[in-house]
Amino acid sequence: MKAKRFAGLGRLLGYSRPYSKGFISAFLLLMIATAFEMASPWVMKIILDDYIAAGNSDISTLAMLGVALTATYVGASIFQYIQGVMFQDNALEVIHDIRQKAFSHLLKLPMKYFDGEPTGRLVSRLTNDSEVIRQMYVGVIPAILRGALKLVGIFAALALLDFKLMLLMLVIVPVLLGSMQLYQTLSRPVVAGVRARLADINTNLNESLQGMQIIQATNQEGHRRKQFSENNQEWSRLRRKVIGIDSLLLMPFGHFLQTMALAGIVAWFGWKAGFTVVEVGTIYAFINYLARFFEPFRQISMQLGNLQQSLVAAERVFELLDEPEELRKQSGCTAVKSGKMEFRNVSLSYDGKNQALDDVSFTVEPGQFAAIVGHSGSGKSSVINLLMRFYQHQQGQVLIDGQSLDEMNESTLRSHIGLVFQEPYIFSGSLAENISLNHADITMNDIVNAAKKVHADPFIRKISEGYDHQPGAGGQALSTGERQLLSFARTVAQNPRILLLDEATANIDGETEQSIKEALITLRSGRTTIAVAHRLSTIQDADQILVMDKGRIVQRGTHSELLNQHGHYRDLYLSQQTEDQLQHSADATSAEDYSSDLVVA
Amino acid sequence: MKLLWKMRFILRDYWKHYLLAFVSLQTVAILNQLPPWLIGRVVDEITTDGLANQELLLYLAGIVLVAIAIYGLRYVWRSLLYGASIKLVHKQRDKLFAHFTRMSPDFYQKHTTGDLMAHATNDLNAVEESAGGGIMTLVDSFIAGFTVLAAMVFAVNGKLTLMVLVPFPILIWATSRYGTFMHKTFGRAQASFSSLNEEARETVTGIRAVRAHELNKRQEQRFHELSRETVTANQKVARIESVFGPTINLFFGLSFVIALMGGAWLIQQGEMTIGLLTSFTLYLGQLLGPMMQFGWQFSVFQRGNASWSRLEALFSQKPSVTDSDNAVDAPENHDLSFNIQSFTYPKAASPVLQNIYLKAPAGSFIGITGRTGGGKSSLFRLLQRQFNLESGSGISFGGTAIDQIKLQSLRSRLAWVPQEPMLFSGTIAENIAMASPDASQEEVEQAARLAAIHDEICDFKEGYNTILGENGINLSGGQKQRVAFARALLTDADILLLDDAFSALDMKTEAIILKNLSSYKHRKTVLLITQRLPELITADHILVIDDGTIQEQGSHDELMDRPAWYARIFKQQARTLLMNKANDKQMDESLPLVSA
Repeated sequence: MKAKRFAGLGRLLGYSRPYSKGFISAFLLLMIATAFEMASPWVMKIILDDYIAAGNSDISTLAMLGVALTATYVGASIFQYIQGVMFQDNALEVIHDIRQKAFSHLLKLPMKYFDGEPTGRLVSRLTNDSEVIRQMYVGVIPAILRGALKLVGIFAALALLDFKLMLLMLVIVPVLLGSMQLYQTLSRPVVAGVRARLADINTNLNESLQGMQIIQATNQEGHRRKQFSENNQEWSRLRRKVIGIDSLLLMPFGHFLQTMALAGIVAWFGWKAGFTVVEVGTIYAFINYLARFFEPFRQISMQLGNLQQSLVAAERVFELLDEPEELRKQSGCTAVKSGKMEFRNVSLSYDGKNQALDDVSFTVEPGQFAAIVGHSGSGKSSVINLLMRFYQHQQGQVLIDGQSLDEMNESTLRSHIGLVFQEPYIFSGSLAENISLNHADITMNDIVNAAKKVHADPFIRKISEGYDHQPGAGGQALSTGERQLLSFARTVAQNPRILLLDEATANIDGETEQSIKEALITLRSGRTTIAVAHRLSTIQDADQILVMDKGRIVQRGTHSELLNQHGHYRDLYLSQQTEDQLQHSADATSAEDYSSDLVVA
Repeated sequence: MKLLWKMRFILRDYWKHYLLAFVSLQTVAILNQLPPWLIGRVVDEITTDGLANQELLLYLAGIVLVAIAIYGLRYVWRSLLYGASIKLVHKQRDKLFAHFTRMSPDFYQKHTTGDLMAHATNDLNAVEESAGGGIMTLVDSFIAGFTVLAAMVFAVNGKLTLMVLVPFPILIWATSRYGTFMHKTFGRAQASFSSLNEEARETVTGIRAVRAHELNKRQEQRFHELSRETVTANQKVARIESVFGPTINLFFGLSFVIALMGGAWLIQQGEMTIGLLTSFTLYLGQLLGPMMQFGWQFSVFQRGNASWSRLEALFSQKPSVTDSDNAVDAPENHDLSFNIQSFTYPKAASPVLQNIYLKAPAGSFIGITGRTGGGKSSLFRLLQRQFNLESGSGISFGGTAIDQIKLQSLRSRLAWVPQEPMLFSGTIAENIAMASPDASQEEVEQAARLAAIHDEICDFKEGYNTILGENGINLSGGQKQRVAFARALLTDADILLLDDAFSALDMKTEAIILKNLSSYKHRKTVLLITQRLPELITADHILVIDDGTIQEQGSHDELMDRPAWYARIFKQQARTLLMNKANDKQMDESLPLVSA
């Protein structure tokens, strides 16, 4: 465990290699700054001993000493500043690199990886974790370097002043370290307890707020309050315990130790004064150095928590970076020409246990319109997933224009297939960008034309900035129907040979729904189309309908052929009729239309 | 000091703690002046060659005693002050939660869960911070600062004190400038980080779209740019951050230069000894902390103050539904009568219910159906007094208007199963027994049996002790509905309000539950909202509600005789049902009824 953590640290530090020049210069400057800092007490000692105590009254000497003392402060400040900025700048570059690398890597991972990880977690790998790692570079490492240098400087100065006393002062180190260790052991379980209680409190609060209606309906307010109060009480008790431990071992103890050390210095010099001459400046400098001695310890111990967190965060990011990339076929020839699609005995399993597609075969001729229907989980979307090469099938062949998909260049393939999502995805950027997808060869004219073709133009023009409007992340400001139309426009503009349509399930208001229906026809014309359909009303003119169940094609034919057979399709059709009426009709007038539909059946 | 006055609420409850803490602080501040002074004496004695061993021991004992006393007092005031701030937050948090449990649904329409959570966490944290560390450092910097100054003036030399204070205005000015600068640039860095976060989220959630449209390059480019922006913003922060420490050191160092130069001069004039100069510089070292803290804590205080105002605003809101002054217990008789002329939700434009008149005698079975969004659920909400009725409308329970009945008494007679079942973390048994915590295991199991979920619970590894995740994530929709239903059955409420409570169940389970439900006939009143009309065949009375008004009503048979929505939909549903049954027999692998 320890070795592994250490390995993580090594790897993390490895990312700073490209910036080693910057880091080394910063470190050298830090050394200079520390030297200046250490010089101040020494100059004071000289002033006290050689000027004041010696009874010197030469003003020019005093002025010179004053300038020297000021110079130590000015020098320390300047170098401290430059060093700090340099260190941070380089550290931020390192973080930028790590983030960049993680992002590019993530984009190359197989889809399967995304299925297994919640979005929040992945996003936090890219952003939050790298922020935590930043703490390592701007907090932990500088604190340790600065602290170590300072300690070396202080002890060197003390040794020069009085070697034996310096050795005596070394006693403080184990005491200080011991108290830090004791603090860790005492506080860790209590701090963990505080955290756990707070988590309980927040869970309780969150779920109570969400379920307040049922809590009130069942008269359980008192009970919930009691539960909440118990957690809160325990939180308060543990929290006060933490304060107790803090007050006992942190700041007050440090000060105590410092004063005791002061007493030690006084005792030492007082005793020495009995038989030898003691210089006041030495005493003063000793006290002054000693006061600086506790600061690095305080800072390093404060950074220990950050060190832990950064290493954990780094491990998580490394885990992501170590995920094997998906092999992408970058070479391979030929564009899609006619757009014929064929599945030959294709089987696919996502998890190695359940068959998502089980020996599926079908052919869609160029320009044909095929529809796939079936319940959720029947394998409809898997067909699309394979055609887009989101996943790799285990058996059989998927062919486009007679060539196996595995042989084709992936990005050419995707540029010839237009996929319309069930939930159209709106990227941040303008509406125009969302249609052109930043393809240089799509002009503003093309964009507007595409939008007009699918009836997206009217709603875009209604928005104040028109095509320059930025719909914001996820396009939440647009209605579902508008997002649909926008994604249609996007597809028309890209002009793919093949259209894969994952039909939306959501209900859309009447006016937009009509536009969508018409747009769909525009969209299909001249392209080989496979539509995954939820509403059977939209696919009645399909050239072939494939009915899927449990990963297999159980029926195929045209709408009228299938209606005249016993089977899934007819069941599906009838049950949707009922649903439609439940949803849409309470008024008696439209009743006749629906019953006439039923007669067809 | 206006802020301190505003924060008096903290002192109100814990003034004893604070008083004692402040006394300790002052004592510490005074004691802190002793060691430098003693050291100065020692130095003087050494330089004048007159330090006897006994005297030395005395000085040493003094320093050690002071050290111990300070250590003890610091422990005391920290425990007192921080302890008080923790107790304060503890109390406020309890109070806030209790306040939440009293608020009516309209409050929860106004405030999202996220907002309320933020109040209960961030705002309370900010209050704790200013009530503990905030007050402490503010007062301490005052007390300590003035004590040190006093020591410098009275124990050493007033002239020298005035001289070393010259760089201090610059120091104070720099600290406050730094604070505002930092706030601004830090805000910018935060903003750029959150757009970076947003970009990452967009790419991850839209990964399929990114691949399908070959947008890898575009996304990488955008992420790169935003990450670069974050770096630039953070570098600006770093520049300001890095300037702070050195500036303080420089100006503070200048004070030391002045002290030594001035001290040397004063010693030559014979106004001071070298020992006093030593004490003086040690005092000067003690002055830095208070100076900086003062500027620092001001912002903590401001934040705490803003948070406190937000909490006060929250506390000042009153629940809209409360017991009336002379509220009575719900009568034994539980005949219901609805007389609703019109009801509009707060802030809504148009009424959701209009002209709803319904009598539901005790023990009757009332069916309510119609399109989704027609206002059916509002009926249940009004009966439970989640919202107040408008004037002219009334609902009576056993002949008493519900707004004259004690809320708790009224609600204990109603068992409501909402559309979206809400489960709480805890075991399944606890969830079923939620409304009746005293129920025995047998009773819980009996309720689960009636809700047709007992067998499935027994199949879980931990049975009834299975821990449910947040809102029952480890249960299917149908299982959640049945747990919620069992919860309702376990209470001895006289009236069951079932709001589309079986929508996720398959037909078989639904049939079992309906059968079990019919065994309550004449004992409990059942109001059932449903989209599945066959559930209503045995109902005493059925309402078809659409657009907030009653479109049809009567018994099943009466409604079937009328060529309207109910009859038409019923026939279709019955037909699908029949066909499905036939198919079940015909084929092994048949599709379930499309229902969800």
